[in-house]
Amino acid sequence: MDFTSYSVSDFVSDESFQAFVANADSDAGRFWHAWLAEHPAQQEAADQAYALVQGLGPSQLYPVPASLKHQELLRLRQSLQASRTQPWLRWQRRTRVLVGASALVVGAAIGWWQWQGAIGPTTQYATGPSQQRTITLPDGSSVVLNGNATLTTAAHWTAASPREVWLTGEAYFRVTHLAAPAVHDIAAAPASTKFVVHAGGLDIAVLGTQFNVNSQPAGTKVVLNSGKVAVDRQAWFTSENLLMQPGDLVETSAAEPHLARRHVQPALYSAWTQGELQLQETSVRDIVQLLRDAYGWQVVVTDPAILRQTLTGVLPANNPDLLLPALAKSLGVRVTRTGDVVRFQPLAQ
Amino acid sequence: MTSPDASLWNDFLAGNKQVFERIFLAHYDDLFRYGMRLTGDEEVVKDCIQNLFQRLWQRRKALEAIAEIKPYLFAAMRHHITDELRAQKRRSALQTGYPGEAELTVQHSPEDFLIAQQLTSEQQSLLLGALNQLSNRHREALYLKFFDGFAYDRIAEIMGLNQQSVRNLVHQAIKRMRLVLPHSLVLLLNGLFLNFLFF
Repeated sequence: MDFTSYSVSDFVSDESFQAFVANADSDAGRFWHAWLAEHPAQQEAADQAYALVQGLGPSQLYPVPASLKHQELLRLRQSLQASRTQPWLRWQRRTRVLVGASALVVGAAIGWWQWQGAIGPTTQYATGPSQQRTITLPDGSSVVLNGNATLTTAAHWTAASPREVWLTGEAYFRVTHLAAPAVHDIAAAPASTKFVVHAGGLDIAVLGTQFNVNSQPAGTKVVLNSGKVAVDRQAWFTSENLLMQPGDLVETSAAEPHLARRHVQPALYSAWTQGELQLQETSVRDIVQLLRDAYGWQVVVTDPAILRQTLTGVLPANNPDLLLPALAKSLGVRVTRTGDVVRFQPLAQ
Repeated sequence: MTSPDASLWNDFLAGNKQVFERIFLAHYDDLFRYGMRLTGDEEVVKDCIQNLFQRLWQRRKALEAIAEIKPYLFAAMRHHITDELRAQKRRSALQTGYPGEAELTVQHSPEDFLIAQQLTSEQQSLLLGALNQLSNRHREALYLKFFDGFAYDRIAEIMGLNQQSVRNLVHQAIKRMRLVLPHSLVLLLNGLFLNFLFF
């Protein structure tokens, strides 16, 4: 190609020249550098073209909030789940709420009807606020329900059917092992030996073990005390599962639906069944984590040194009005609670 | 040889939801910015991206393999925005009883060009003024070329033109800009962006 007759516009429109402006060290960059050294007559036109390409390039980007794409992904999941064949237009939004609401009612009715058909009549156990209740299930497993919880089970259990319960609220399970002692693989175990808790979008499958499930509208947490638990989460776009080890806390929430796992002191999470927190060189960090997880409080600790202290002793578990002053006294700090916000401060402040 | 984009796309066509979500997340910000350039209405942009991806998922069995995802999504985005704006216009025409223009063009305002920050505000306004003299199509071609950095064949896909027409658009646009740009600015620009021949 003859570049000696190139005008400024020719240079600007040339993709290899554009590549040169973007990166002088590219192949194109080296080519143009050499070519222009040999053709000084074209230098002025090339200079102008270079300046124009540079001047038109991006300098700053239109700001897009970082959370937007994640919010919009949730919206996409929801709309695909509704599996409408026609895309939504903006003016259709107004009707969407109405349609959505009626779909929910119809869906719930169908679901209830199928569910009734599948497992037959059910039994429901419920507790009121600040009430606890221990239930022994037909297979010998026991469940302690915390306040404001509901547990639904089949009214008649047979040896052949899997053991299944549905939970809202918090409960501590002690599940009897029915499989042969050698069977430890939950996935491979016969269905009839499994015990499955359905709570807040999770399927929690066990053979025989002790664990705590706390299913609130904002999210669901499972804490394993001993044995093995397989947690499954099914959603339209994703299916996740993981095998918990003792001491694991696995959670899912409306804000962060993906299963997240961390290590906690499991005994603290089932302390409510005993009514007392038994602390044995327990770090304040673990206690603060418990206050966040189990009581749903926002905990603010103004001095990191407080987190490093440890505590030994027994504290009341189920009454925040007793627990927080007791914590304050044993730690020698000031603990104040305003609504859901709990603040730990050194006494001096 | 398949490009990473091509194999991602094939996985999505095969019904892999995770890959589909990855594509969504990877291109969301660019699509959002592109949409905001085509229409200033944030709600319209968000809805169009939703519609676009819903359609993609529903029609994945009928879609074909592609080599590059971004220009494909840009082209689809342009259609969705144009359709939506056309529908809006039709509705407002129904309300006012006055038929809108048959052809709807997406407006590229010169301010959308984020001109290099090194320029003084006076230089920037001169450059904006030159861009302002251009037709909408010229501006769009320039934008896709110099802002998004697409190759000519990709711009052709997005704008629904052939490659030569896109080249011509860019060429004409630069020519016209140079006619209205005062010579002093071009010289200033030169000074600003160093004499690249002498490094």
